[in-house]
Amino acid sequence: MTFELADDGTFRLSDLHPLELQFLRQVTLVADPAGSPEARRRLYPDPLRRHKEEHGEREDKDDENDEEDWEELVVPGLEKHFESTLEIIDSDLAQTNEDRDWNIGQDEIVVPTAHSEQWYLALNQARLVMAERYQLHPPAIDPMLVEEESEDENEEPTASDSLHEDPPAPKIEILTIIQYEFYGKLQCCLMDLFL
Amino acid sequence: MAETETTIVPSVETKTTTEKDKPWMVIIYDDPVNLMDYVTKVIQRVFGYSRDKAEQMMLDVHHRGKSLVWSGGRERAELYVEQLHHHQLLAEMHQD
Repeated sequence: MTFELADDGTFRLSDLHPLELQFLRQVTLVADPAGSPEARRRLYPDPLRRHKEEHGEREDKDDENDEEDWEELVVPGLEKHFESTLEIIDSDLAQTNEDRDWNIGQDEIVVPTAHSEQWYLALNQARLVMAERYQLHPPAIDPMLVEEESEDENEEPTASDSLHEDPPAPKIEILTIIQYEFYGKLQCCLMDLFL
Repeated sequence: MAETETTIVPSVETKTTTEKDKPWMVIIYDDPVNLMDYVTKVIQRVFGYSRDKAEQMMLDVHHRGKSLVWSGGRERAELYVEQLHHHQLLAEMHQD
């Protein structure tokens, strides 16, 4: 794929590989957090989560009300904002519909630069959802634990050691990672346009 | 004759700090998805900070896992957190 900024107020995506086109067509689908509570929590985080964890003992009715207020007053606005962003991407990608006689490898996707921020956000949302849905970034191993373990590496293994083995890494399809990285590279291209 | 005893009562500090007086802090937490330049730009856009200040905060987020980006009244803190969520940053508000 070639990313090119034109002088007519558009940017163009050309020389598209079929896989790249497929990834682009899937952006809004992938960005949908449906079926993944983790992804939804990431898109609509509780603004007081850590505060409540620290002040658990003092948590009172006010905190519960605050959470309800946020859900009722702020989250719908966020949902609307993200939905309208994805609608813009869908409308820009409508030109790639097969019934419009769009030829892969020959035609290019033309997007108004005025939509570049929406494109950036949609790609970002897709990556956020993918990261949560497929656990692409498992929590880092605590370096202190690694240090302690390495000091003991000369010791004979005991029966209890098997209890502390690392959990098996989640299976991630290579194609998922390629798609995730593709979106990230496109975001880098877009960065200079609207930032 | 009973002895009289004079007790000196220490003056009581009447001005106390209630929880409502404590400032709310807006904190951005690290996440592995958002690009560093983007985080810098969003901080600049939302808070109107200079490029250098926003970049330092972004680096705090990246290296220390979080950065305190603003503190003050609760309503403005909520507004800032909402704006940061609009830009898909992982932000929360906190009061000590």
